[in-house]
Amino acid sequence: MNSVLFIKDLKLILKDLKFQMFFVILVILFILSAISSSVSYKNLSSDFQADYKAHVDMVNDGQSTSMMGMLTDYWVIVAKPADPSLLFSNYNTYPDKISTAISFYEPRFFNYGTEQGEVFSLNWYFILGILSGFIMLVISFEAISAEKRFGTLRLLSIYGVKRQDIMWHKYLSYMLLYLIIIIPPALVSMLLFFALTGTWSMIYMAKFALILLLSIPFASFFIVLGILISMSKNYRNSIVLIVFIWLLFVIIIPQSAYVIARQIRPLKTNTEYHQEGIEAFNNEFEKWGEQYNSSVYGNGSLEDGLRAKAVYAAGEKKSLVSQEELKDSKQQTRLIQKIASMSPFYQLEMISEIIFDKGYYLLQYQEETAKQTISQIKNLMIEQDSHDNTSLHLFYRWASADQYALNGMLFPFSKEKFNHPELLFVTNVETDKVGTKALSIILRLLPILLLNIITFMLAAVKLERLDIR
Amino acid sequence: MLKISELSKRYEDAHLALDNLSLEIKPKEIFILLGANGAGKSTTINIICGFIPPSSGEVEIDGILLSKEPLKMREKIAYLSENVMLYDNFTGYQNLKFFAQLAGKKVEKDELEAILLKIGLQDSFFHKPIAKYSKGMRQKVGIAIALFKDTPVFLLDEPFSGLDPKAAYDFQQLLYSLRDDGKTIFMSTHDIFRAKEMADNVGIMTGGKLVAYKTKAELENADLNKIYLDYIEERQ
Repeated sequence: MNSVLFIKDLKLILKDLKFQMFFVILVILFILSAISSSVSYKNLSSDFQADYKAHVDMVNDGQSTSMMGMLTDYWVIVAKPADPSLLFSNYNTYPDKISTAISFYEPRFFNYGTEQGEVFSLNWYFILGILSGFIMLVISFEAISAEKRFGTLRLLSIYGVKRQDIMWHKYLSYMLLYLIIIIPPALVSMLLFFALTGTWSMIYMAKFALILLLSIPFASFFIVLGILISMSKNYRNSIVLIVFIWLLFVIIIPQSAYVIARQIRPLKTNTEYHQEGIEAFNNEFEKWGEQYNSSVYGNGSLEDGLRAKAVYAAGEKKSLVSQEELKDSKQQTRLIQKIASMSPFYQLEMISEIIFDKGYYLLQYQEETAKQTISQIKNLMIEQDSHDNTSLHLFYRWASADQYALNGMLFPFSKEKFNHPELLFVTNVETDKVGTKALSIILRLLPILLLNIITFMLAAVKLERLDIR
Repeated sequence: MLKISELSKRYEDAHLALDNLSLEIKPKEIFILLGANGAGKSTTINIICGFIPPSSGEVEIDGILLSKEPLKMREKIAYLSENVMLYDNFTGYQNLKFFAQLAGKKVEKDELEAILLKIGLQDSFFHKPIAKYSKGMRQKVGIAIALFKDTPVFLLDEPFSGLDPKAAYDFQQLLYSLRDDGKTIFMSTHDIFRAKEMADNVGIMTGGKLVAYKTKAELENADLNKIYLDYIEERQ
């Protein structure tokens, strides 16, 4: 490396008014994001505490947690408490909590990726994922054109400096400047957030450091892109181009992803799915009535537990609709992610989800946890029920007991309080091991690294062919 | 010694900007190339500097061939253009320091300031950004940079443009002293009177061709202005 060239480029950028202005803006934004995120943290923490208190009250009350009550009135909640990752992003379009019906059919999930939050929030994702790319484009888009305008490109050439070296040193100096304008304010922001929320955590410090480190390839891409644009002949075209590229990555691609995915993989409305579920239930129920030449409605019309069997079978049909809804929702989400991944901004967001265990990355594990928890609860309920003499242990003798239950002689399931109410509120969700996460992150980084290399090569070829007369 | 052999340049639009130019400029010589705009003077300098490749022909400086060792050749050249090329955000001193360091020179502050004083830049401007300099002041810093590179060949493209009479006189004296130090000076200009006054040899170019080559002795009692205009008119 030629230190003379590097220091020259560094000094030139430091003297650039655009750079100075952006540095001040970034310092302000980082501080504001700490304050804003600490408010979000406090609000979400109190929401979480309220949810948890309601759960504890319910457990203490014992009414809703009677096993009979649980079958109809209660949900398993898998929730993530507010944590310092809010400083990076509040993931306002994703729920970090899912509710699951305690059903003895396939669990039905609610709020699976459909919850909409605030439109805008100030946090690191806005700065690192959206703004910094634009800043690096604006700072670097005159890298070569300024040298050409000053005529210094020719002078450098006379001093035997290779064009590749000119570009390489500019790139390195911009990279260093990226670190200068990002790391100190980010450090202040992080410490301020910890101080305001009292959530000092070495693990989160390391995670924030990692996300800053991983933002470098993204910043690098915009720097190289800026250098490439800086070789265009027309200054006005360059400005139009950088605004277009930024809009393309920030708005056009992500928004198009939603529009396209909704066209290719449309979702019915919640009401439509609900109606379909009810229809499936009724159709199956009526089939049973037709089969046994009897009305399925009204207590005890189908004798010897046939009604109960019909309810069970119809319930299964209804649950198939729920599964279809979940499947449709997942397919649409995956398609949105695939299309949106063409934007580097979105890739950074996906990586942050893996680092911080957030968003859709977490959701798939929350779903798995919910399923396992419900299975565990069912087994425990059946086991507990088997010791209750007032219960007819319906889960393995459902049909035959139906007539007695319906006649009000005995309860179909125990009215005893469930012995493990803590299972109804789950916060501990295990995600991937560190190695698997690292691999996922690397795979997500590969496209951006490839883009870096391709853009760098394009810029190098263009610079080599640049007319410097 | 700067040797140009059968140098031609045809641009992509088929325009022949330089047509078979051959020249030999020795050390301790000031060679001035006269010509109107588009005559091919700047194309010649651009090729020697390596800014554009020739279509054919060769340039040689002290045994180094442009086609073989372009980077090494550039080490032998100091270049000064009409519009001096400097970093606007840097001061005159910083520009000089940067290019001196780039040339691999050990730079002392006193030495740099001394050279700026020598080329006639007011010391109150040493540490002001170039953006605040007049064209003449920029020219002086450009000269200082070229001097500091300390090369055997100086390529000067309209170097007197924008200089006030005093600065022009000082620069002229400086070029004489460089010549006396053994440097080869290749200069393009429109200024016929300065050419006659300074040149050891003069070439006249029109339409990419060297149409006349006059030595100092030949010019002694000749009217260079008339010779030049005759060639220009003949061309038209």
